[in-house]
Amino acid sequence: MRDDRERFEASGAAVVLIGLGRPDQAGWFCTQHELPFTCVVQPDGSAHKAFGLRRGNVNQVTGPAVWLPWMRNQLTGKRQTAWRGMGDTAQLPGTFVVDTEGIVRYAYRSRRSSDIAPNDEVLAAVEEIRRRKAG
Amino acid sequence: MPKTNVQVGDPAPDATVLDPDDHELRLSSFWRDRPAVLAFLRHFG
Repeated sequence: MRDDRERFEASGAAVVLIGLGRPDQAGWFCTQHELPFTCVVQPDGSAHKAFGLRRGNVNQVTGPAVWLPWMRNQLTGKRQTAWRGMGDTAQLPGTFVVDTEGIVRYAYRSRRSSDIAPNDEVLAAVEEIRRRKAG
Repeated sequence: MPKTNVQVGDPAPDATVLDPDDHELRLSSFWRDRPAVLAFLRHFG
């Protein structure tokens, strides 16, 4: 998502990153990465649960399918910020697109920590909402 | 808030979150005027 920030900005959607942890950590993250997105937290994880996102097992969080992409990112310079003890590393991520009526139009629940929604799919869902509204 | 399995076509749960200044926000405030992309992360880092 970070790599496609211009495309997300151009989409006209409100992009909200929802993390676990403390509010000031969300502010630090958005500032540190100069993200044009909104960073918020839900400290007890109830928002994640409300959307059906679960905590992963050991293989989903630390298995080869997780650390191989991480290692590739390290080698190619797409380094992730060192973990600073924020949030819950066992929580599995997910991405949802919601229209202006509050209806979910796209749902992606990650099967492991390194599994994230393809940006093209997310942006296509936003575009479809805009097309429906215009048409 | 109970654990659910929200599907495409379902109403999105209107959870309360905190902004960096510790102010409470409803998720619905993000999709009121334009589509919202909600990316749930494990942690910020």
